[in-house]
Amino acid sequence: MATETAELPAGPAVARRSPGRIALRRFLRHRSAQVGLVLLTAWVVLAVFAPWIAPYEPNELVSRARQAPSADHWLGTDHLGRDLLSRVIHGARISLVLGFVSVIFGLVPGATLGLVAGYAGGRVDAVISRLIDAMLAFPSIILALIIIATLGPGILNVMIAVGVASVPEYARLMRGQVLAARTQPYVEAAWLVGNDPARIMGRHIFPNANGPLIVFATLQVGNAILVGAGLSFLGLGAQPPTAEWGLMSAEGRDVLARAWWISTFPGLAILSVVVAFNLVGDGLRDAVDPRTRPA
Amino acid sequence: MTAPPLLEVADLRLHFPLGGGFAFGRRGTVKAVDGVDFRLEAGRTLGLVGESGCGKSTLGRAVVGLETPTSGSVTLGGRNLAARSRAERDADRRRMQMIFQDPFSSLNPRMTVGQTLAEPIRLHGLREGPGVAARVRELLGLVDLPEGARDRYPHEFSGGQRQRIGIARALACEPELVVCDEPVSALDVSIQAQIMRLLKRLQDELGVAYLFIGHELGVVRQVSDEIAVMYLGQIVERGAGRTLFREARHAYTRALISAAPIPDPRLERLRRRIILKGDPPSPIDPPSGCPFAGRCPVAIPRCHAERPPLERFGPDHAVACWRAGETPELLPILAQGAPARDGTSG
Amino acid sequence: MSALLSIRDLEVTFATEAGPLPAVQGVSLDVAPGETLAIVGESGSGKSVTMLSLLGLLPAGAARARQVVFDGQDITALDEARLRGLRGREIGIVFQDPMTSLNPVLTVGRQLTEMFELHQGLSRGAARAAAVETLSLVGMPSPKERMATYPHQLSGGMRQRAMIAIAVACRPKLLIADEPTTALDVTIQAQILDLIARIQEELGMGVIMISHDLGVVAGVADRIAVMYAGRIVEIGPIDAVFDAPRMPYTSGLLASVPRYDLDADMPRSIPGTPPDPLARPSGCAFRPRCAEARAACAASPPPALRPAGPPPHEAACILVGEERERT
Repeated sequence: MATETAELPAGPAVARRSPGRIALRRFLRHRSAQVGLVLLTAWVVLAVFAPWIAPYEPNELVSRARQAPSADHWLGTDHLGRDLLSRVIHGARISLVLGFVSVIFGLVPGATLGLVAGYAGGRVDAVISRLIDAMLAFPSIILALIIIATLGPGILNVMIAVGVASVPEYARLMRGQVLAARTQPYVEAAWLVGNDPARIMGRHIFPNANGPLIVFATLQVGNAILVGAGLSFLGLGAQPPTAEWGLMSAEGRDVLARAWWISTFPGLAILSVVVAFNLVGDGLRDAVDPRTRPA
Repeated sequence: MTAPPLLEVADLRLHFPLGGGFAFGRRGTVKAVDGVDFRLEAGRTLGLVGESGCGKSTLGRAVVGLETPTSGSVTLGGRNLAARSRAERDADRRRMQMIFQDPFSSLNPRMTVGQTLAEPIRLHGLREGPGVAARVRELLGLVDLPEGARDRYPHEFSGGQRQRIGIARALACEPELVVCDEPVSALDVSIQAQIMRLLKRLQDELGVAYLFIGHELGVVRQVSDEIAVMYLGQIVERGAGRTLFREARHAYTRALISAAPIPDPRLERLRRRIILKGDPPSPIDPPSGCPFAGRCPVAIPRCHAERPPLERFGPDHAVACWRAGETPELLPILAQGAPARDGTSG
Repeated sequence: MSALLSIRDLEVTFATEAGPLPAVQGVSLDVAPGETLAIVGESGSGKSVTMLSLLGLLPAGAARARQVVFDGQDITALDEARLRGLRGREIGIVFQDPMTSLNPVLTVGRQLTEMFELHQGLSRGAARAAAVETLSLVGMPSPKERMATYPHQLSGGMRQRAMIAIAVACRPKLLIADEPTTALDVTIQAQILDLIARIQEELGMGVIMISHDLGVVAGVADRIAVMYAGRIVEIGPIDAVFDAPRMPYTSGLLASVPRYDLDADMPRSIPGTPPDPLARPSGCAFRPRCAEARAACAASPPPALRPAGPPPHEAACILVGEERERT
């Protein structure tokens, strides 16, 4: 019955276009994502090559304290006489690492909990969901403060605190996605053709449910950097003499009127990184879910 | 003793409690499937027809194991599926597959067609090494898709083509029974016929049995050796595919036939519709008598009081209606004086 | 008798990311008062878009027509406000899914009385009386009580009745029904088709029934227009088209409907799939799927249909011309 042979969509241009690639193309064409990506790339390059790019060592005493921005010290010097530009560049390393690591600390356990709760259902879901609800009852900053209070101050503890505080958000998001995906006919078909639960979750549900999770995680990197800097500002995170943006802002706090640059430039650095992650996250969201894209 | 049929369903019931949450208490029971019996021989097709909410899809899903029956049994090749160990059930899952109604949500959008088809072959060890790829090519050929389809993603295909992929996935498991849940309802007419012919050809070539669920009488009539009509979770009439819609005796079946339009304007003008009053009652705590009694234009007091059993009415024909003997006179489908078309003209 | 509605050379083009998408090309048709014209086609054939464009329900600039005359008035020139007045008062619309076209936060009664207050300037009390009367016209049981119900409290069939009540509230001259029974079960479909026919007779409306179901169409239509790939490919009186279709697509479509009333074999199928509207073949769009196709079919589009005059049976196919020469 050759006459019934279905024809393929014509044209070589459509060959091998996976849904992931289509989303990637949409993302790369997204205007604000492009801006965010450029900004982010700049910060990553600065962070990675900080020792070569920065004019001085971050803790080197190079000049008199509290010198205003000048040709020698573009961003001026801090209250001890260290070069502020060098410290801001080195600070990017800590902030970026802190952002990514704390997101991983939140994402991995959160997504796993959500996946298991959503797929298993029943009593397992009830237990996990109650746990999530209980954690969500606290504002995440309070949760982070409680964890820091228990573990003690320090940059690693900040990452753990910020990460763990966001676990319930990831878990709730993932669970909702899984609940929507698990009743899809292709998931039922996957069970019928003989997949075990682990493969159904890993190969059939997760790849189709992770879009919103990726978007949220991206936005969350910016948020984690902000919270991390806030904790350091309060003296609960990085300790002197670390070149950390939140701590640096705190160090300039008392002399804000005489030496505005000491607090301002680290603050602007935080702002630009957070904005970059938000722009990229917006772009990802529109790429993953084209319905929200303005026409 | 004769060999057991491929599939035997006995007194199957699926009841769902309503209301859920502990704070609200139970508000009733949905009797989606309420005491269904049938058997299906290898290589044959049983059509299940009925309107939405009659339980036909739930029944199909229970047969393949996507729903857990409240009571009753599903027996495949003489072995009761409920009574066996988990490992045995997993092995038997392969033998029953399903084709879904919606061609757009029944394929994993992140997997290529080749990956989708190779997965069951690998999972069950049906082929080894290069044999897997060869089998995928063979499957694509079986459903008339070109080899190039292998590396493409579902979104690149039309509805009819996706339905072919779904059929190929079911066949990849080398099943003995395929439950077809409204497989052509979402397709355009010209594509519907393609898929129906494909299913028929595959049955002839591979000897697979179909449980074919549908709501369009014409589609079900054309693919089925035997047809069962469902109403409110029960089979109310059963008969040979060729003759049931001509010789229907249940009042509901006759109303259904009279309401189903025929693409022939001259014939349509001669027909008399049995317009049923109201909507189908919900399967929440259905009536105790005949499920159709409330809407039946010819119901008698006994219909409300007593549930009629499904009784034989001639060879290959069974009806659950107290008035089965009188319905052709009580509920004529053609207007007076119209020539009875029995289809020898075609 | 002059036509109630007369469309000439309607073109609808949507702007898409991949370029302009011609949804409807050169459609012309007439509807007489009191007649039922069925527009039949598969998904993407442009059957729904044709009617939406008529009502000004498409994005601005998408639709263009040489002429659209409704009840003696050229409506291509009307502004949005006048068109809105026409919609609802003179032209009633029934959609496939009443759940999305009824307002979920207003009662059925309020949505009906609104029609009378808006279009006929009735007082609150008079509008209420008219609404109850309309609900009983569409066979709504206990219409007075139903005034206070919300759409979600009704069953699918009752919702469609409410939708029809709103559509015919102002006694329109034309009712456009876009797949009005597709979402319904067959016994409910029979109720609704019966209802539309009854109201049509009572009010003397013209009806345009858009459907993919040839069975439904066979039972209700006086004339039928078959659409394929944005064009009308065949139009004529219902019996003539069903008895002797002239365009291979129409005969293919008729042969692919499975019959439950005949001992016929499996339905024949039309090979292939409808063309991508962004890449339609040259000449006749059905050519790649047509068993009768020849070289000339690729050369130019089939001859245009003559819409005027007494209702003829026409098909946009070169076979028709050849047939004429032979006889």
